[in-house]
Amino acid sequence: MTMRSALPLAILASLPLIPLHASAQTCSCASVPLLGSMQPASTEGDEWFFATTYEHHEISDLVAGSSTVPDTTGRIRTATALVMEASRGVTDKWAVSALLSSVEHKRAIGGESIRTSGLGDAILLAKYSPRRISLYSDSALSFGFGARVPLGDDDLARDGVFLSEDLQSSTGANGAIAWTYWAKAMNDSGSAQIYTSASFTANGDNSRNYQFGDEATVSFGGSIQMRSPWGFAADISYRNANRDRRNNFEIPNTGGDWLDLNAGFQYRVSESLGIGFGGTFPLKRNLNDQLQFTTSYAWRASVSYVIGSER
Amino acid sequence: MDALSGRITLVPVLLVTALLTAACGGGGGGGGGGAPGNAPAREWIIPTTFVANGGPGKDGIPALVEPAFAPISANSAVGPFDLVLAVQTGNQVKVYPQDILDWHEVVNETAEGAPFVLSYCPLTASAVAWRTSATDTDPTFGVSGLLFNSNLLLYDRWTDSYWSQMLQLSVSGSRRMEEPTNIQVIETTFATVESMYPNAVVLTRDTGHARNYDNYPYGNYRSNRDLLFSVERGDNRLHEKARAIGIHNDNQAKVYQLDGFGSSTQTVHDNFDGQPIVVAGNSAESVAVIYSRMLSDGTILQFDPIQSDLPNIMQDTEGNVWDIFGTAQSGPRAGAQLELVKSYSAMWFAWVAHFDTVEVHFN
Repeated sequence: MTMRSALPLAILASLPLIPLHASAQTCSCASVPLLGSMQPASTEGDEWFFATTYEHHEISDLVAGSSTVPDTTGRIRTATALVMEASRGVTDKWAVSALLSSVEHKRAIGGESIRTSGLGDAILLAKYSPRRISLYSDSALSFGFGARVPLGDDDLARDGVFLSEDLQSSTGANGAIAWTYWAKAMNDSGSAQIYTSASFTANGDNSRNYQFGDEATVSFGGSIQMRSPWGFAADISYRNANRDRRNNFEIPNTGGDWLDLNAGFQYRVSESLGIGFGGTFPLKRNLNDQLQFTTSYAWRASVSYVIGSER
Repeated sequence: MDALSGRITLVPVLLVTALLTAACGGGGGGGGGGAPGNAPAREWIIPTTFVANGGPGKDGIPALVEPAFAPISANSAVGPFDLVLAVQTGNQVKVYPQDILDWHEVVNETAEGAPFVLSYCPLTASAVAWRTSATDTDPTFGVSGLLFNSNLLLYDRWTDSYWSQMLQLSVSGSRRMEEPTNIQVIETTFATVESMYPNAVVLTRDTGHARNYDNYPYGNYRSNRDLLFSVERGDNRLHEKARAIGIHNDNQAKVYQLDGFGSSTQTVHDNFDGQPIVVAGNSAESVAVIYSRMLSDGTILQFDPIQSDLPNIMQDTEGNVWDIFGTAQSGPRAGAQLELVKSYSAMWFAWVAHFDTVEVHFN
């Protein structure tokens, strides 16, 4: 298998159909979905990778512990994000990625509605990939570490009063991110893979001393690239989020545990260009304290483009 | 290679351009009377620095309207030591368990043709009831989703004016500076109110909303020292969450610790803002009230406590016996009503946060 013929596999792994981190912190104090749009695989040396992802999160499930309860208020809560990523392979083992986001939140209840939008957070990530799936290796391993930088507003206001943190376009806080990704080819061509990933996000305080809870995520799944341009992937992800804090005090009804099913497909338009569509569906949740709004489902559509080196 | 460089340059430019375009509508926006962006559409008479968005949004905590009541004798949901609120409308005493109010905060009702609203803020443990205007097309109040000094801001659905529960004042909107007319609210335990008023009715859990009223929604907030929102000022003379009944005017308050009355009923004669008042309380029964001692004819009464005869709590030197709702049950002034003052019980931190000067009687 030449490097050129391996490219579609890279695209499949790269397409953000499956969240690296099913990160929609969509409890009652939601943040912006962001890291979920970042590609898990690393970019090879002298390659450029670009991806644009549109994410939509429906945050309408009212959950008491692990039980969904009817919401008699009929409210609407959504978060959408346009996330753009650029990665550059510095060497065959090292790559750097930058991710920018634009976020929109909508809330409606009764006759009241509110919409906020703006630049969200950015992520800067360094990736180290000591092993890739190739003719010489049937597994891939990547590590990433970096920072989340709040580029957007965290002081959006209405009627002269700051909106709650889950309506701000940016968290307003710096954060640290670490993740790892491992994949194994299940056939000679590497078109079938299983993979697992884990990530951890530590969040700082914003200017109003609000801190989103730190998060840890683990996922396990598989992907397959058909002989046709179609590819499919699915995984199960587990996410744990600590309670948010304000003035260093824990905020009730935030944080908890989520088990989600993520599934998606991609269509390879050319060796360099791929489009994809995926979704996240909750399997089980056990959320802290008495009542939280959380994600009912999420879907995402992506376009990715790889510019390879002339080797 | 040149062609490759050109592609590399072009793609990120297009991506960033698209991103910035998508972000161009940035800022807060909205319908339903909201103001876009950071431009305040409302005028506030309170510092907005300490007005916070609670999270659920306007009406995100659903207020109750004309909820169902059941005879107190039929109660099986409220424990004897659970705190409740009691309001007297005509000859009827209505009881509101706090474990239901934790989830709804506002109850709109009509009694004898007159609408009123009872509100309870679980973050400050304060409760008040106000008469509302029967001439309003919609005399009901809702939960604004905003807090001032961590205390409930209600809004009236007729003018969309915002009302500070603890200041008992409209703080924003066309009714700004307007003060509501109070109705006396008694806070005590279910066992005490049941023994005082065996014919009372109790707010039922049949609210139309799926909530687990057995569970308190704010964890250990009632006992820890944590505040969920920033407040104007603090004071460590008492534990932040210590319950105290108090009286207030625009910027001053005087409070009396609820556990400072002892196991027998006590009365305290005091003056607040030039007004003679009486404070009567019994820690064992978890009940306390404050009334003006001055009657409409100018008479200033002197009171002694009555033991073990609740709801009758004090008698005056004229021989009148007064109950906890401030009504003379017997004596020469039978049927008379003591003048209500701006009083309620609340957590200590909330008194300090709302009023410039707070004097503590029992320290």
